[in-house]
Amino acid sequence: MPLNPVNNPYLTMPVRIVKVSFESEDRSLKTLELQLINEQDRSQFHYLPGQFIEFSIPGKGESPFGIASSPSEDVIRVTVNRTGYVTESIHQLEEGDFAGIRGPFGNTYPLDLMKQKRVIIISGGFAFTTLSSLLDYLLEHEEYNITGYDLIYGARNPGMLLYKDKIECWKQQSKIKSIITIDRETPGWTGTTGFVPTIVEQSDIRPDQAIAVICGPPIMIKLTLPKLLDKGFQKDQIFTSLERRMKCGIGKCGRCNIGPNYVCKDGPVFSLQQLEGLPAEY
Amino acid sequence: MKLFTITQQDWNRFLQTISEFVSVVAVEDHAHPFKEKLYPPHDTLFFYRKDTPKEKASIQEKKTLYYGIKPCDAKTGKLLALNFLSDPHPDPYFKAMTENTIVISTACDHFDPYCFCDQIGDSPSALNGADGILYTITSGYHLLVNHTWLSQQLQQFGLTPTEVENEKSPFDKGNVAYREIEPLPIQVLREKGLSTILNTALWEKVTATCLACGVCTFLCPACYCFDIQDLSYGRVGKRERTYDSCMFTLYTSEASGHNPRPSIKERWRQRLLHKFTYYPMQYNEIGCTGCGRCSRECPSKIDIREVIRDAAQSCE
Amino acid sequence: MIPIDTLTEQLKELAKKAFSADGIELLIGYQKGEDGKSKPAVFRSSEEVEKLVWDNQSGFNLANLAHRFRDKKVGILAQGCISRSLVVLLNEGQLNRNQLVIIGFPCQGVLGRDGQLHSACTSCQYPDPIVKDYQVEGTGISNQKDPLLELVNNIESQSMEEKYAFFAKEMSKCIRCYACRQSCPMCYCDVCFVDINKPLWLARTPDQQNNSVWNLTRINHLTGRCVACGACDRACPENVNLMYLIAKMNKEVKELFGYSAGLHLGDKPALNTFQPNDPDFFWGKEGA
Repeated sequence: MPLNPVNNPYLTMPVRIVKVSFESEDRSLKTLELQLINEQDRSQFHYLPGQFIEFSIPGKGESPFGIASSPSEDVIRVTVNRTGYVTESIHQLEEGDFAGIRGPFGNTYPLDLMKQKRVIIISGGFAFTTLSSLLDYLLEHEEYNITGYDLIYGARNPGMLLYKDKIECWKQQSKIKSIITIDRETPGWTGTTGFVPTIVEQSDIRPDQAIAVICGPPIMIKLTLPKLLDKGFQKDQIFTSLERRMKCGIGKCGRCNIGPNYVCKDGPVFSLQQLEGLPAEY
Repeated sequence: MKLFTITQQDWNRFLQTISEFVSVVAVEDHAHPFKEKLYPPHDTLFFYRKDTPKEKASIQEKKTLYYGIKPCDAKTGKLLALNFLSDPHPDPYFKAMTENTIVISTACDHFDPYCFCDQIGDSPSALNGADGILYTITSGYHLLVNHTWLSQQLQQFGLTPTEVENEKSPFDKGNVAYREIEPLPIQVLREKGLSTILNTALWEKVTATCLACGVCTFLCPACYCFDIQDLSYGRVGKRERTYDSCMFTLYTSEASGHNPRPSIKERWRQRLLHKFTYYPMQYNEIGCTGCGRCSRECPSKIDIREVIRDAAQSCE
Repeated sequence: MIPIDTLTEQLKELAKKAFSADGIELLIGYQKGEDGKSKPAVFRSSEEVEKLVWDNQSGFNLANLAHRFRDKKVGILAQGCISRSLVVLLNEGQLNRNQLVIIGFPCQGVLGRDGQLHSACTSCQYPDPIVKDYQVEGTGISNQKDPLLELVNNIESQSMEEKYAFFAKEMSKCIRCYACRQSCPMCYCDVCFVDINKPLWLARTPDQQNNSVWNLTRINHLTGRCVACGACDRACPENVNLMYLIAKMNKEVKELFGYSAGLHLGDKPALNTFQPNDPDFFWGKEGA
């Protein structure tokens, strides 16, 4: 009995790599733009900020990546950190090559909750990907009536900052108050320096009518959360996007659970309140 | 549900008759969980050719009737379905396998030192989601059927059924195993299991002799975790899924080297709470059939009943 | 041989002494499980030692746990094979002798999964502990014959097809749960080659081909280190005959290097030393 690919979540949709660029100075991060090849796939592939895809290279395997592009764009953008077997192979892809994707999977950032509120985006390192999608999406959709944005984004050094061109554009927007920081003073860097948790502590972000979204390395999240709570943020006002080792992406293979929640299916976006009382397995 | 009475001779003849439509398989090996028939230890998801993104997959269509399964093992279909068939992405391979399978269990007539189905609220004569169950009587069997096609076939064969309201049949204490025994405190874990999470002393005690092998999970009728891997043979290859175990380091370790469950303590906590706390939270069912294989085959002879009791006792 | 109950009582006495006189933090031994059979256990005080037992179901190799608790001062029960495992671990620098209090006893053999005396025990030549701090006196199992060696000799005389058929049948049973590895005191690598996926040395697929690679690689890694305690064979839920592979490997080591693992403290493992007169036939012929 042949399987209908539409109903088989394990089958991949073919994509063409339309653009590849290095995202970081140390060449560990590459951004790829993908285009679905089949018309049918294109018409069915709808996503919202926060969701992820499984990127598949036959013979090598699959890895999950948060979607960095905004849904309005005609390409799917992912930024890939070269750390493992699959990401190594993805880094070898060139423009015009084929690969496969599955998805979109997972939940989205709490877009409805953000309506008529201030959105505070806190990020470190290359976890900025889906947050870039969120920012783009909210800026494009005026119906959300976001009252303003705070963007606190940090990286080890200027060369490790993602999407620099985009950041420049966001800086021009009056609605966005941005602090871009690097860990230590570096020649040529005139902006802020300091670690994200400290910057958050020093900043004037306030919890009134606000939603905070925080993504980054576990240690950054761990140190930043107390600062937010000190400032009076409630646990249901703070959201984070989690990363775990994944295989199926659809809540079947078992490994990415935190308590009764699967990061791939019930997440990756969780509020601090949802994670309370569950094993801190992230 | 329909109840038939059938002699041993007729039962054999009946199996012969229906073998025209389905392949009939007697399950005699009870050392292995029946889940292997519905969800094989390794299974191809699809084949691929490297130079094209075109992919194909197919699933075997042959319908199979299995009989002789123990009631605890028959529950495997029900429990695995909760995971595999859950929305929004039901698993097409498991779906096809279960749709192509008819399961008839045999009420169990004895307990061995590791059996505990009766201590978690099941019984050795429960239907447990099977399509039918045989109760051995002197002249043959009582056969309780919960499957339209099967009961049609039995009637065509010349048998007249009686309607039965539910599976709580009069055979509960008849020719099946029965014992007075204290139930395990699974309700405590169901309600308060999360309170054990930070109890390091408990998990240290539980795991003092655990070797972190995969016996318990591979043989568990309710464990379903799998790994996906690509196997290449030159330009062609296949993507395959194989059993995986939450007891293994590699199961959760990430490419960065970070492992959210770094030691056997976190992994045992995951295994126990998944079965007795998370599964009920997700699906209102515990992820255990009481078959006892995990304890029977454990190289360290860690008895899950002791662990359940220890964990429940430490719940606040 | 000493009656089991007497042996248990004497072990308890010595264990309590190890707590009081030697200041051990924990004792690695056995206790009765819910099924009435003995199972490995860790005792943290001399009061807990009351539960200590030894019987013919005590087939778990405790040296495995000695390695786990190597940062603590531990007492451990050891008959011949467990003490030999400890010797190998000491020789390999994995354990510290000062941190170990070894309670030796003569072994009467343990049962396999079939309820019969295990094949490792019916072929055992060393029932008495090699190293010990305390000792229960008495005699252990004594074997005139070595049935495992006979089995190996028998298989060696078969044709290649027969040998392969036997091997393939055993390998196809394996489910790759790694109970063999985990129950082996010598398999102490932090990361086993099968737990690496970059590169993926071995597919996870539990089929005969991959299982053969797994088992042969493990056995090869044990060359000159295995004391043939049989813990892996007893741990295997699928009854894969691992003992015949082990016996073959140990026979080769003995014949080539005149070496058996774990018999002397301070020994260098056979494959870690080079002697000018070591056999070298396997290098192949010159010019070939």
